[in-house]
This record gives sequence, structure tokens and C-alpha cells, in this order.
Amino acid sequence: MNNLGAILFQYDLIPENYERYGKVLKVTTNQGTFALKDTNLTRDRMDWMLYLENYFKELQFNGFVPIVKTKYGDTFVVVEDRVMYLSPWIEEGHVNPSLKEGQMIQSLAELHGYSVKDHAFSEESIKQFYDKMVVLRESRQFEMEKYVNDIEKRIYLSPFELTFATHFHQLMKNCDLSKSRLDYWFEQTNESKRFRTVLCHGKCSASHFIAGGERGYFINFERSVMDSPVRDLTYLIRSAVPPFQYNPEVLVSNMSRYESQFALHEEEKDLLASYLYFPESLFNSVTHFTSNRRNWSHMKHVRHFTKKIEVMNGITNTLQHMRA
Amino acid sequence: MDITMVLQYKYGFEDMKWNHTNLIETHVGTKKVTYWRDRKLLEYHLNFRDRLFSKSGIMCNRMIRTRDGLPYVQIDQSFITVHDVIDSSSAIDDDPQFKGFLIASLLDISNELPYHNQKDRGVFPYKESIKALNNLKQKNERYYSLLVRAIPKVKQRLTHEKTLSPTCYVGNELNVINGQYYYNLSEEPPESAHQVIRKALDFERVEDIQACWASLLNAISKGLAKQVKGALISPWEWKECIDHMQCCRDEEEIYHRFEKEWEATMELCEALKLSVPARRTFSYE
Repeated sequence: MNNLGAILFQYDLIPENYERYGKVLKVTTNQGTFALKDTNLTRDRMDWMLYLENYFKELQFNGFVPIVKTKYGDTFVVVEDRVMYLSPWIEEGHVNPSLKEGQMIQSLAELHGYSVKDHAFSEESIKQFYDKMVVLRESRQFEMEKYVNDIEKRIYLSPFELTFATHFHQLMKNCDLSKSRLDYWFEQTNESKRFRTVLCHGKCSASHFIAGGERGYFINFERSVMDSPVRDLTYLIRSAVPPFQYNPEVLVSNMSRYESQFALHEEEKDLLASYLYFPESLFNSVTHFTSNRRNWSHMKHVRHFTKKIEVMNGITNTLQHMRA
Repeated sequence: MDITMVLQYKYGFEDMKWNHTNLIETHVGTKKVTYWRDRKLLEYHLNFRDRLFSKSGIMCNRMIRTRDGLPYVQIDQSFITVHDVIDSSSAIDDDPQFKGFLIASLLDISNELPYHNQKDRGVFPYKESIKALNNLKQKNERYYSLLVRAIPKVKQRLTHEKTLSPTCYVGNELNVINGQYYYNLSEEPPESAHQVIRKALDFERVEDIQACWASLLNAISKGLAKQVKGALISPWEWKECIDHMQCCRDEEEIYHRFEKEWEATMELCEALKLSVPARRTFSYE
């Protein structure tokens, strides 16, 4: 990295060695090891991150890796159009993946529990949210229906198109299930007249969590937002289910571990089920395939889609099992 | 608690040793300790330097924060700040483009950040200069006449006059650290913008002046470009000549210096394509 010396000068650190891990640079300096994150945060997101640092201190929540300020008191270092920030490097070592997952679920429940905020019930805003979700999902479904109609007109379908067409009926079934659970959520919320938000990490997955000795730490709060806890749980469950070696018991036990610390309301469970049933990530695969911005090979698209189908099947089976 | 203990405690410096009257050796390198008596001046410099870095990315001798995140430490009625010390062997004196960008950044920030004791907005004291010129009539009629003859041109040059906030500039104090420019500001109150501009354009080579000026005009905020041009064209050398002649005996040398500066400024205006309008807009007093 060309300007590493100039960036670390802001911290009075002298780099000795560095290794790149995606957007993070592990920098060994004369005063310890640090993680330098390269981001494209906007001014608003920088302010939000700054607010979060203080918010966590206020809540006395320790499950995050703090940002190190420069010697001039700045939280971020701006280099041209990039925004950098520095955190202490926490070495994870060799950790049992299931133990890490357990720690992560527990830390997530803790984060949600610390930051939970009950809101005054507003029928209008709940209705607005419901209508917005229905419109968004229906328009997405319509796009997919149009896509499948187009490809079915062809004599020969490509492997990706064939895979999609084969599973299309199942996807639509999931959309219906998702819609019915959203309807339940809407009815129940109107009955219970309650609504709460928590601080959602936004990208809650094993790659944004470092397992420590007794506890773990979340990193990368760049996408964090105040929202329903369901948002984080959906992301976490989708990213945690391994395709082709799926075990429904793990998901059930993770959920009960989460709920032992932060119990979901009945209507939140319906919303979670609605999110999980909806095959958004599969629809996204179609969009990726048609635009192919990542320049993937055709077979890679097929493999990616098949894995997602497996994940969706696993989640759907568990949800139906839990419902039963 | 003595000052060494205060610095060690507040800034978390380890192995601290005084190297010189205001230099300290710490575990994070050599630092400079600055003493301030005027809190408002200190806060002006604090904001000025922080803005210079955040708005234009120019590294400068900003205040290093204490462990509590404070930019200075108060001891009785005075204040202490700690700064980086940059090796003077890395000094740079031949980058007119960067110099132009630096001056533009300094002027932009001073425009946003007025100094609390801001009396000098750079308004040309024409009436006062004419009064002082009248005093010369008795003292030396020859130079009086010569300076009176310059009045039409003075008025022409004054048609461009615009006010500008004073700014912090200490001449060429540029260094390079880790491949980036580092500018050392002084602890003095800001000085008149016209003096800063004239000081900055005090090059021997015309090409350097032009490069510096082009970079300055390119980097300055749109609203300030006219003020900057006005500050350069205003006939400050004429006023300085009158002022110096009031008490000095060596009038010939003063006049000679004035003539030289006058010619140089006119040539500069010509070279920089700054038009001095021919029409008169001031009445003679």
C-alpha cells in the first residue's frame, strides 16, 4: 500500500509489516497489530459510525471492536475518495465453528437486548410498511414470471435457465407462504399494538464476528441500522446454513439460544418466517446471471443458484417442521 | 505537579525527556510543546488547522489530543499544546503549484473562520494615505510630486479592490513526510491577506509566479477569486512608500524600492493578464 506510512503517521505508528485480507489490512507496527479498513463510507455513514461508538459506550456494550482515533482526535482518515479507519487486531486463532456460531448468536441477542427500543404503535406506519413489502415482493415476483415466460418460449434452454424453470413452481410456492406469514404478522401486530426496533448489525455473519476467549466481538458496523431484529436474524440464518450438509437441529438450537436471551414476539416470528420464505436471494441470482457484472462463467452461475436452492429448501423444511 | 508530569499524565507519553526548551522526546518521537496565553487565538489556530486538514487534506502542525481527546491542557492562566516535529531536511521550496493551492486553501478557510480580533480586513486606506502624502509636501517636494503623479494609476488599481479576511501564512514552511506535504503554521495572529498574497508571489522567476497564480485561482472558491485579484492589484507599495517616507531620511532609497515594486507589480498584472481599467472612478481629494 503506497500511502500506508502517511496514514499511520496520523496515529504515530510506524509500520513494520502488513498483510491484506480483502478490504482489511493487518498492519504490524512498533506499537502492536492493527486492522486498517478501507471503505467508501459517505459523510452520513461516518457520522453514524461515530454515533455508534458513543452509543455502545453509553450502553456499556462490549461486544464490538472499537475504532482507534488518530492523534488529532479524528475517527477516520480520508485518502482521496476512500475512508480508512483503524481498529486493534484481534487474533481469532483456531476456534470450533459451532462454538463461534454459538458465541455469535449470543452476542447478537445481547446487542439486540441492549439496544431494544419500543415504539409508539402507529397503525398507519405498520400499514405503510405492509403495503410497501407487498408491492416490492409482487413486483419482484412479476419480474421472475416474465423471465420464466420468456425462457420457456425457447426450444433449447441454457443450463441456468433450465435449473430456474425447474424450480420456478417451488419459488412461487415460497412466495405464497411468505405472503401468508406477512399477513399473519400484519394482523397480529394490529392486535398486539406493539412494535420495537433494535440496532441491527446489517451484515451479521461469521466473517464479521471474531470469537475471543470467553466472548466474541462484532466488527464492521458500516451497514448497521435501527430495524426489527428480524433483519439480522434473516441475514444470519441465510449465511449460516451450509448447502448440501444442512442440519435442521442446528437452526432450531441457534434460535432457542437466541431466544433464551432475547425472546421474539409472536408477530416477529411471523415476520422472520415471511422474510426467510421469500426467495429474494434466488431472484438476485437471476439478476446477476442476466447482467453478469461479475463476469462469472455460466457453470458458476448454475452452481451458485443450486447452492441457494439447497439453502432455501433447508430453511423451508425447518420452518414447516417448527410450525408443525 | 510539574509540567513534565502533566504531559506524561495527560498525553500518556512514556520515556519523556526534555530535549530543548520546547522539544520533548517521547516513545512516539519528538514533539514540540507550545505555550499560549490568549485562549481565543489558540482556539482560532485549533479550528484553522483542523479545517485546513479536513477540507484540503494538507497536513499541518495540528494539536495532538490528550488521552481524553482534548486539544490543549490548561495550567493556571496559560495553555499548552503538543505538536509533531518534522525534520527540516525534508523542506521543499520549488513547488509553485502546491504553493498556489496552499494559499488558496488558507484564504478559503480564513474566509469561513473570521478571527475574533479582526480589525484589518485589507481595506486600502486611501484617504489616510492622501493625508500622509500631504505631509510630505513640506518635507520633500520632489518625491511628493512623483508620488502625486502616481495617483491616477493608484485609483485605476483601486477599482479592483475587495476585502479579504486575514489568514495564517508564515512563508515557505513546507516539508515532506511520507510522500505528503506538511505545512508548519506559526502561533502568530493571522496577517492581512494582501500581504500573504504578495509574500507568496515573491519569486524570482516569472514562470513560478504564473504557475503559483494559476494554481491559486484554480483552487480558490469561485466567490473569492475576485477578492484575490483585487488584493494583488491594490497599490500597497505606494502606501508603504508614503508611510516610510514620513520618518525616514533616506528617501531616495525608499522611492527607488517603490519604483521597482511598482514596475514589478504592473509587469505581473500584465503577465497574469489582470486588466487595470483606464477609466477613473475616484475623485481626487
